[in-house]
Amino acid sequence: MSLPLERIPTPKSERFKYTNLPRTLKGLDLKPASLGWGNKIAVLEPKAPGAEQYRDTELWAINAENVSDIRFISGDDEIDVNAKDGQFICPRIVIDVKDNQTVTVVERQGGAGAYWKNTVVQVTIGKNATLRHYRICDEAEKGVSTIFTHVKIGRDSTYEAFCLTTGAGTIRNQTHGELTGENAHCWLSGVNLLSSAQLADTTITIEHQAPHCTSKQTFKSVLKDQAHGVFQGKVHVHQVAQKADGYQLSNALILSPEAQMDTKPELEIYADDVKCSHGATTGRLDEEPLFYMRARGIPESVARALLIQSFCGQAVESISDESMHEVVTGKIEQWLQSRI
Amino acid sequence: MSSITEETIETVKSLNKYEAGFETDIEMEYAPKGLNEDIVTLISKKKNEPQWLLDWRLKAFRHWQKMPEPTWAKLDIPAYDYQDAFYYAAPKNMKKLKSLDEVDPRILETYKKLGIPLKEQEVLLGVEGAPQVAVDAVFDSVSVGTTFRKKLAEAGVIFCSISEAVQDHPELVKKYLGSVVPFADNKHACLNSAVFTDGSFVYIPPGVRCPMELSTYFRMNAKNTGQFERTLIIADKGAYVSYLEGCTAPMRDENQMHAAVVELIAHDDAEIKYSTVQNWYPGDEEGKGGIYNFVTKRGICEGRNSKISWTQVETGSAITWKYPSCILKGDNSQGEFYSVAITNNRQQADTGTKMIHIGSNTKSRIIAKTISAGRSDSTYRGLVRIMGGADNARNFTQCDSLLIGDQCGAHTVPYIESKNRSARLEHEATTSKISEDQVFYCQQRGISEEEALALIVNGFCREVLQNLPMEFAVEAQKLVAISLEGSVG
Repeated sequence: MSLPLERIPTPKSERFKYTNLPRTLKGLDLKPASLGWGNKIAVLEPKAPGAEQYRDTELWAINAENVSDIRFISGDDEIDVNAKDGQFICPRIVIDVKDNQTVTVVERQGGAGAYWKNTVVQVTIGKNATLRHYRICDEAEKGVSTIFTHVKIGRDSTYEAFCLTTGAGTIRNQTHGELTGENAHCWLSGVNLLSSAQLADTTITIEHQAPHCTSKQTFKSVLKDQAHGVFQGKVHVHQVAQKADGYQLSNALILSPEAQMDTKPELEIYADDVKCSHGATTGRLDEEPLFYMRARGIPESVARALLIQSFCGQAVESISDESMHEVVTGKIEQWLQSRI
Repeated sequence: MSSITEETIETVKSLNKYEAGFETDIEMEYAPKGLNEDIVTLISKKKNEPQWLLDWRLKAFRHWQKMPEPTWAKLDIPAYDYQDAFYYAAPKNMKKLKSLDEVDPRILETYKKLGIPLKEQEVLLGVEGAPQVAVDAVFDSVSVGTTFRKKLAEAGVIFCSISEAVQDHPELVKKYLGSVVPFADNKHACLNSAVFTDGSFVYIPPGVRCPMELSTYFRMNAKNTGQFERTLIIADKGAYVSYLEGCTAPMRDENQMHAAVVELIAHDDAEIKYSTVQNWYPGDEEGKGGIYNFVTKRGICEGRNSKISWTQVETGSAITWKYPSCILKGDNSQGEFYSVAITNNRQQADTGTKMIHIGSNTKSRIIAKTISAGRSDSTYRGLVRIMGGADNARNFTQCDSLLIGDQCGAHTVPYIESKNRSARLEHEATTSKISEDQVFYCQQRGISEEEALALIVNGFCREVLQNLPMEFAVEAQKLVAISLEGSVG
């Protein structure tokens, strides 16, 4: 079977402006496969959320039509999604957090060889509940991984997500968060560490649909060699969502002459009693602290690594689970040791 | 309380919503309604243009027919019938005037009512030492007069309408026309290239600092016409010019199209400062009528150490679609963009800038303030692109939005693209409403709510208004207050 190439959005589509998926997938010889979870058990959400309004949910539709595996999660869990060489798979993960519960889910995305993995994660959080969703993407150099996460957050509930990306040749991490109940919170953060010709695209849409909601996005990108980082964040505050507090931050460090970063933080606001802001910076490592440390006998590579580590710190700090915090810190250190 | 604020409040109270909304009753000469190759040829013939320009217009027109309407902006644009408008309208009996005294008194009266002195002595009659401003007045499709010609000519500055420039300085026009905004750039610019009727032409020779502010005042008067002017400003090596643009139109129920093109060229060490106060008729409270303002403005910093600065105060128009841009090609060149965009009632605005960094050590600075009130929608859309060769490029962007009332929308859509490691880019944006604390503080001290609003909004825009030339700054502050009239409570 050939891939549904004509269905995949091109950079002509506003939300895929910086990521050319059809070009990346064109030469790959892939066959539909499965992870062996089974796919005959659920009634899937037939229509992608916000399809008409945002026109950026094509990947959801492709997943729905070609779904290969389905997995249900309702309590603490760890899940591995590993693709093999030559596979085209469309796993669907459904997370349902009931009222008054606190759940932690760790999702590890991996793979070997060349593949296209088009994952959809569908999350519903009830009232007065918390989901901590940690994702580690450490994928194959030739792999293409697209992940669409859709989250519905109910009254007095919190969705805390962190994503560490060190891998996949091309990775698109798209999140659509709906704050549907009053006093709901959506906190997203992530660190992208990229080298060689990798591309990591973080695309976010947050909809404030009820009053007194907060949303935070804190993303850090470190780009080496010919790596390409993309951040597109959108906060949409509906008219009813008064007293909204929305914040977006994207910082990028460019470490080599060929690396590039594209940032598009968007605010779309229809309520007047709001506090929304965003910040975005792109630049290189500051020479002064580097010099300071070298003057005190710290080797340059160590000094660089320290600075990059502290650069990522702000995003990593948002992880409230201590063991996960350690795992992520360790992984960042490991990457820095091998690459810097 | 400062005197300006008091004055602002008085202006708000004494004025009807759109003071420039009157109509001048004057006999006009029209080209037939509609748009086709014959009309394009007719405009060219009327202006006695050389063949190359007619060919260029026709080429643009043929291309325009194939171009789709741009739909990417966050605007709800009703379909516009291009065939149901006049593309050429000029006051009758326009002959070559020897001096400004020969201008139709009714036209002079129009400009006087708008506060634009078309007589040189009126300016001189003012306070001694008051800054002088040379004015090129464009009335519908034609330029009706340019003041201070002699004084400018002494300095070597060429300031005239573009039709005159085509006749008198064809080599300059041919060299630069379309060099910054090619005719195929976008649909509106393409239409302008085909049917542009007049506009201003400025050339500042090497090393000359233009002795006074130059300004063009656009007035759309005739019914069912579109205004398509073209402005071309060239600052040669080491030259400096400050240029102001103002615009108004009568109040009408139908929508009129304004699709202008402005091109700026700054050579080595040259500086161009371009300020606009846009006050086209915005339509009534229900959104009936008003001007569609689809403008393409772009400047190129061609030479080293050159600088282009855009300042705009956008208060009018039913729909604004405008992105004054800078191409920073020369090393060490600088681009600046200061903007205040105010929308009220049913107005829509999608405006911002583009800064393309090509040369090394290029710098750009963007300060955009957006204020939405009533049922309006306002968007800041901006692009900062750092090309691979732009070593040590630097950008700072700040966009702030203020919402007044819960029926309006304010949006921020920045695109930030960096391909150079040594570049540093910073972007920040905020959206908020006028804080109740601030209003309460003012009210406690005996300042009414409406006054407090004007005070706070003027403070919010201060950074931008400061960059306007003196004469414009006062005007702009008043406009800011007027535009927001009725949005309290």
